[in-house]
Amino acid sequence: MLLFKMAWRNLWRNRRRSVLTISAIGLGLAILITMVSWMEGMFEMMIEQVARSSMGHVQIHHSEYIEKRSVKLTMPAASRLTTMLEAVEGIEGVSPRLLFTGSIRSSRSSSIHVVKVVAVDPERERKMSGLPDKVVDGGFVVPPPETLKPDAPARVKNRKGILIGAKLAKHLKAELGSKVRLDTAGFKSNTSAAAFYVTGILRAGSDALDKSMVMVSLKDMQAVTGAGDRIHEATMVVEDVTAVEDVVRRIEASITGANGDGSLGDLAVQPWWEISPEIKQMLDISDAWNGIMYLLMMSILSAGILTTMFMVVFERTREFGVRLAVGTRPRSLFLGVMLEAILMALLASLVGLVVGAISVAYFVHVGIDLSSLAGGWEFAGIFFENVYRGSAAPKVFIEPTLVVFVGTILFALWPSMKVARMKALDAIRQGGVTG
Amino acid sequence: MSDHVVETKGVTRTFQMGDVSVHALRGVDLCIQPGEFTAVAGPSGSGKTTLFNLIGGLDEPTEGSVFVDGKPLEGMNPRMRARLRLDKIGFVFQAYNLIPVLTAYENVEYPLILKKVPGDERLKRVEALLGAVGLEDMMHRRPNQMSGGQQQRVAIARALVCDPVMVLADEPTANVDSETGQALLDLMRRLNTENNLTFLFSTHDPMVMSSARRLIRLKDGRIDSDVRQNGDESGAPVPAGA
Ligand SMILES: Nc1ncnc2c1ncn2[C@@H]1O[C@H](COP(=O)(O)OP(=O)(O)OP(=O)(O)O)[C@@H](O)[C@H]1O
Ligand SMILES: [Mg+2]
Repeated sequence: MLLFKMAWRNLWRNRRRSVLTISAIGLGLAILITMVSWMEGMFEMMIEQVARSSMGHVQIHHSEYIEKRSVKLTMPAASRLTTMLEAVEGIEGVSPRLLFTGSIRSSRSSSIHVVKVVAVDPERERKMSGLPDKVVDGGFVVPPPETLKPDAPARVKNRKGILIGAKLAKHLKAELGSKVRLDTAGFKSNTSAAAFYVTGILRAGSDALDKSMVMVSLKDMQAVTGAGDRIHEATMVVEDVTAVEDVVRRIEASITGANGDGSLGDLAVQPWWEISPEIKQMLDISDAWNGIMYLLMMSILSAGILTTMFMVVFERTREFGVRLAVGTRPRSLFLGVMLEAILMALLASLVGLVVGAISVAYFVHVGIDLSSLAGGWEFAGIFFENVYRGSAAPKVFIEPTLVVFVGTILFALWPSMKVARMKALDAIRQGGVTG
Repeated sequence: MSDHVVETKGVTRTFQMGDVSVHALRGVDLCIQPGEFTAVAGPSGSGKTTLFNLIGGLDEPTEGSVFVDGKPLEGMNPRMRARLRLDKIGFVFQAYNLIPVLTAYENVEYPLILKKVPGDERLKRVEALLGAVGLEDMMHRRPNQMSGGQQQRVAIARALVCDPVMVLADEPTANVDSETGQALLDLMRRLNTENNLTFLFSTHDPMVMSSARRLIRLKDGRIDSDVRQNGDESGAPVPAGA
């Protein structure tokens, strides 16, 4: 208690210096918190985009599919697999898909375009994909409206809808209701061809989506290609992106449990960082950036704490000598100096957290606009937003504050130890006025 | 032995400054009996402070031995010496004795807290002592709000608060004017007679020397003279000064 009282009063002895040190560290912390918030915000945005980009957080394929990309490497019993996955704890949505490389043409244009054909269950896909929001005309993988009329002839009722990108639509000179022809590989025979009617036009801002991809209904595609209940891919979005590994483990366990007879096929479960190592690498680089920022903070701390505390020790040599002469234990002098530094860190953290919280609130609310840098950006085949928001996750505040604390304690050790090793006699003599 | 508050036997202290040896004390034999009011005088550099530091266990002699209250300081570790100072010796230095961030009251209370004396007992003793040194109105002032003389009185109160066997005061009046110095001296003398408390102080000041009951003169690290004066009857007869 006495130590605490003395440390507190000592802190305000040189008010200006203490305020300066505290605000320097506090401001440093606020900046650090803001930067980490940006970085975390970028992480979150990227992971989110990765998930919404149709990659999801976890994917299941035939164990050789990723390597060989062969149309024949499918998973049987897709319906059973899907329902089973939807029951796994921590999974927010499951989207079963068939994937083809196909060619598309329309009667209005002579050009043929190679596209990626993604066949999805629209209801399930909708739950986990950001694409429905990018539909600028029509709907997201919906049947043509004429099929819904009760008196439509069977020929019309069987028409199939297709979602295409805006750029592709332009090249094909297609619009809503236009008929297009899609050629892909098939299962019964080697090829499969079918007519589709454009029921949706997509503008996502990326060529990968706007020019080179089409989406159709899984049911239609399974029928057209003779795939039956087979799919190439089941993509999942998890509830908590930090717990992907746990979810992967649970998925593997439930597959092992249900696949005793091998009826689900030969499956491989992969988290997003295995599917897209480029993104993972980029996030790792960002992590390294955080590390560099923490180091920078450490240097602010070393300047602040180390110099201040050494000045304190130097100024008070005489006082320490007198206290030792009276009978104070060196350990309590040590603790006194440490306590003073810790109090300083406490106040600095308070300042840093308040200023940091205001700054984070701003960037969470307003966001960080990168559009001046580039018109949106694409990386590893995924299109990222121009504006992203800072993160207000607890981690953003906790980690930098911990760095300040650990740094303070570390840097205060040296001057404090110097005090603890003082000899009463030398301290009194060095203090200037000897008796 | 234990009827001596302090005894030094053949104490020398040599400081090594690079190649140069400084002989601060060259063999000092000294006995201080309970209740003495003794001044150690001598020119600057004669070894007064060195002697006090040895008696207080802040420093160790090069040769010879020091006994405080009958106990040899030799072989005590720094922690035991700190404890000895806390229990038996009150230190008063020339200046800057006090802890700046603590009030007069808290400064006097400080050694009692180190000794873990309970709070109500502390209150009694601190108030009584600050009263005795005439500072009951200044209890809650910080050192920088007090005059040099007042600060020294606080230092004396702090030196007394743990009931020491002796107060070691190294030039306690050197930093105050002569009037204040006389008042401090009167205060110490009063505490000496009323409580039979032993005082050993060093000084340059002839006025202070003349108030002492026993005057030891140091010269070049040796006792030059040792005389009883002012009708001092305490203790054993002093051998004629060398
Ligand atoms: N730590 C030390 N290192 C080196 N020399 C020292 C040390 N302490 C004292 N001395 C030397 O020892 C001698 C005696 O010093 P001391 O301080 O005891 O004298 P003093 O009588 O107290 O003088 P003053 O009246 O000026 O206070 C001096 O020559 C001094 O320079
Ligand atoms: Mg001296």
